[in-house]
Amino acid sequence: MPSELLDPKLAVEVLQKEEYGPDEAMSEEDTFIDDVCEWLRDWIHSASESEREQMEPFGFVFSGEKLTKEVLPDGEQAPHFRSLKTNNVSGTVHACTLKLKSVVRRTLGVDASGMLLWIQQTVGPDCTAVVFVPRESKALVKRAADDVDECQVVLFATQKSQQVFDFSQLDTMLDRFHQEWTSSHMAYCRVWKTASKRILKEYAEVQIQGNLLAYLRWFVQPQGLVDEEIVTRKGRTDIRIVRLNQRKDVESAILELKVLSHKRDARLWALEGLQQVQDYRSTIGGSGEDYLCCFDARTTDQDIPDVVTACNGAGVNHKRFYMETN
Amino acid sequence: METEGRSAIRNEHTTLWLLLILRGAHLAGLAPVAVPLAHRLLFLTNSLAHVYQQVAPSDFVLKHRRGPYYPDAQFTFERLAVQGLVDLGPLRWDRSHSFPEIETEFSLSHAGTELLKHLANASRWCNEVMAFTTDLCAAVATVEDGEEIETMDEDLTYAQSWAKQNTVIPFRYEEQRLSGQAIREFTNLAPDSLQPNRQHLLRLYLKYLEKVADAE
Repeated sequence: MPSELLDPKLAVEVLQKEEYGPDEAMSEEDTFIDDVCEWLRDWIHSASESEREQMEPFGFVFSGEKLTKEVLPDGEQAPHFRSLKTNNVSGTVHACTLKLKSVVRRTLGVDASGMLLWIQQTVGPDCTAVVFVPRESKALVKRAADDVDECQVVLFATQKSQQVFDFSQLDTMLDRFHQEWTSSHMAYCRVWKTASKRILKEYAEVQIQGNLLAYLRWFVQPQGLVDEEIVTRKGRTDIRIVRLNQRKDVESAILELKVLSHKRDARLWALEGLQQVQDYRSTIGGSGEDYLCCFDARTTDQDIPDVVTACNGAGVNHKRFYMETN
Repeated sequence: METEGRSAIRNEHTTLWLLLILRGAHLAGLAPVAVPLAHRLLFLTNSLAHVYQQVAPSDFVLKHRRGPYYPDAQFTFERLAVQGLVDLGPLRWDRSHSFPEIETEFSLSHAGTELLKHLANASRWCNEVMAFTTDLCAAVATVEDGEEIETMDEDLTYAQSWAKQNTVIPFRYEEQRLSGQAIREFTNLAPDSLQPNRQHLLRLYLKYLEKVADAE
């Protein structure tokens, strides 16, 4: 429909330049974490590997309930991060507003866990903190409601590994997610209640879904949109990635996640997941890649032949990730 | 009596709305807020409140010689400063125009922050308006530094060609809310399956206004 109020040329320019963003409005806390991660992504590409090797961890703190100067009362006013890509940030902690526009900083010079503990004890437990470890291109994210022990780990692609996202990378990305998050009970995603007895926590699937969603968002956005719990006429599916291909057509990848355990019939549970993927395609339509991802918490590391055959027959990629507890 | 009751509610409405704008401005890094920016933020929140299904304290704006202006709000800002809920910057004469005026800056005080923290826990309305004002200020903060005023003055409701200086521009009715209509047009222009959320729409609109200001 042609626009009556907007200059179409300018409006399309804006739409092309701005990233798509998530489907729901973000909270202040999510916006802050997103702003920091966006700055870090740029910063990583402007700092050389040797520079990063020599740098101490640095942190960003945000509180929606305190003025910036109250977050770090003994800090000094610093230039905002918007224009400073090569800020000397090593070993410093920064109290920031959204968009990192107003900054108060203080030198701390401790390791990442020391910085997080200092933030929790000094600034207060109800603040949001992101501590970045330059040597590992890794950020630890502490949300206001969480303790320092419950930090989310965000890995950043370095210059060497960064490339344009397309669906052909998804298979490798899922393998990498499994390797780092779910392959063992010591991996980032802590889903085991009693690992030695292979007893899962109650909401293991929700936890894996949340972690995978965050992982995919860091890698895919802004080149694509990642959302979850997409409701269709026939039910809902877990994760969806939407992107525009080179011809500017919309493509989507559907990921249905199932945790297989001894608690229920793994075969039926996995086939139900396959049905959910097919229901999405039959109701919403569109083209793209479909995945059934089974996170396997059973005692035996073995494919379920019926599920593999059914996936092959339906053109759905079957991934089974065995979760070790040894 | 009924009129007095409504008036009292309106006063509370405006007072809280202004405090929430100052909180949003602080979180978006726009604080301290100079008087011209404060009135523009108030105007934009008034004209765009419907995007967030909120009822704004005012549905008109005075096209003052120095931009959007709300005489009552100016008094309220000053009253809040006296009450200690708003910090006032240094007062100075602005002689850059033919009519010299007193300039200052507003920012939320510690007491104001504490009050809003308390109200956000107690009031759903407060929480919802807080989300709106923060999103709007964050959208304004995406505009290049120093370009905010020119950008906001391009708002489609405010910049209507018929509205000359000292005109009151109403936007009570849907057909008068050109800003909101323009925002909805972004939804039509976006590719299918990729519908911007309301937070994103505010940002798109401000970036669009920035482009319009640049083009002039």
